[in-house]
Amino acid sequence: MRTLGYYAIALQAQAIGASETGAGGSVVEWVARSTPLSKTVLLILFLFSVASWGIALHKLWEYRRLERQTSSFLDVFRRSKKFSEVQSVCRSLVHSPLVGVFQAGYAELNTQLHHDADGGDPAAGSPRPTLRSFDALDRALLRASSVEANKLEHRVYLLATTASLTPFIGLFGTVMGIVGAFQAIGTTGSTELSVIATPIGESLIATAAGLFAAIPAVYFYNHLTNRIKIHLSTMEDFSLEFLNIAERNFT
Amino acid sequence: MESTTDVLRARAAGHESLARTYLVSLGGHVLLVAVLLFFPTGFFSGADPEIRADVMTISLGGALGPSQGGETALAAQPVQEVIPVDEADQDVWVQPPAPAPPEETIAVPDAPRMPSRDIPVESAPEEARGSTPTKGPELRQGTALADTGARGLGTGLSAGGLGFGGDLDIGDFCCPEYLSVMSNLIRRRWNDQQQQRGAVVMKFTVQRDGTLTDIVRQTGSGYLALDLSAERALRATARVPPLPNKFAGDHLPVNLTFEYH
Repeated sequence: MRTLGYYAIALQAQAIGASETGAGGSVVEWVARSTPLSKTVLLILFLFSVASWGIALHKLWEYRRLERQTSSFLDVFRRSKKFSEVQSVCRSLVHSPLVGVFQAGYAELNTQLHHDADGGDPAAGSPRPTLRSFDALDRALLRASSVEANKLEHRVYLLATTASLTPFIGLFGTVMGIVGAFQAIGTTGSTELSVIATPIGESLIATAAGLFAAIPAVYFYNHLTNRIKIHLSTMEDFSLEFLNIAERNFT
Repeated sequence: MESTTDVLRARAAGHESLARTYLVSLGGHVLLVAVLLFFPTGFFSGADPEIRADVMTISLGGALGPSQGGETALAAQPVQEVIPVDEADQDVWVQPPAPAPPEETIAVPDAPRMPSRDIPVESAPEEARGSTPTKGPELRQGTALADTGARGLGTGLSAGGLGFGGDLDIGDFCCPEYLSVMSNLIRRRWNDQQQQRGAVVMKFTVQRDGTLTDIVRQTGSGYLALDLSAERALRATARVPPLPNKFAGDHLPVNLTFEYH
């Protein structure tokens, strides 16, 4: 049970003059009041954020289209009796990495079989043509896989760069802002919280902006890397399937 | 016939332009900045925009004071300051001239003595009257706050261990002792024995003559009993001492927080 003596009185009149010292205001007002260096840092972070979101959206859209085409291509590949039938649909499914692998394998197969059979479809040739070098076909498929992997990973590294770099850029802006705040304290000679809090608060916006750019970049980098791994695995699987068919029919 | 290398070269060459998605991303960021422009001021700081920034805020209740085992209020102790004495009012102490030494005389033996006369003294001679002592500088209770480097407990109103605690930052307000008197008057009429925890923020205005006007509930506690108790305390107080002369405004808006424990 509390007695009268337990009452506590707290006076909080720091709000008086808060508007005069400029402690209030929206985030945009804080940015407008910040130093040119802070504004430059914020601009860099803004550009990083725009670039990383642009790449992430592009890759998401690209992978979605690529997966749709891969599914169609595999459907056609497994239903077709001849490689030439598959080759004919490749033009409409150029975004699938499996098309690249297939075209490379098909070109290598054609090159090798061309010497044995006089033209015609290598897969349907009669008398039965044979492969001269199975390893060469394997290498051609590996090269194609490598090219397609590079295409898949193109520009994704920028997300990792944004994720790792922007927090440090933001931190740099904050540190420089705090240095400026302390210099202002030295000039004015006042150590009151109302004098210190505003510039420090303003400089912390740079760190927040750095994190704002970095967090989505980390998420999208991990997400896209995971999807790339799935595509690489699909390409490897397709290469082995192609080699099996070639071995069955041309050796 | 295409060779494998030609196929791979053709495949590696094609990279789509990112211009479209960059534009989409840029548009999204610009939109975000535009949204930030129209955000309410207190969205990030959590401050209630309804509470005006220029209002004095006081809370009754809170942390224990020194007499209940809390920390002593180190911050904001009033400091004694010297009242400057006007030049005109200063007494000039004049050194009286030294009395001339008596001339040296040689006693004449067997000289006739003056007959003694008993003269009745009716009033003290002018020289015997005492003079008013010189008035020098005096000390009085100051209003400046000692920068002790300590923050937190105590309002400065609680020096002497009255049991007040809580945060204190009286900012630019001139007269903390006035707030102490006002808070005590309200506290005496406040019944906090409500068997319920909560806090009520009441807003009112202290007029120049000390009357409390514009009593409104700023933030309710969610319990009618607590809200009414806080409002009753203010209406029962009705009047506090007139605002100090040092305070320039003609009224003092106050946010008073009643904390029930």
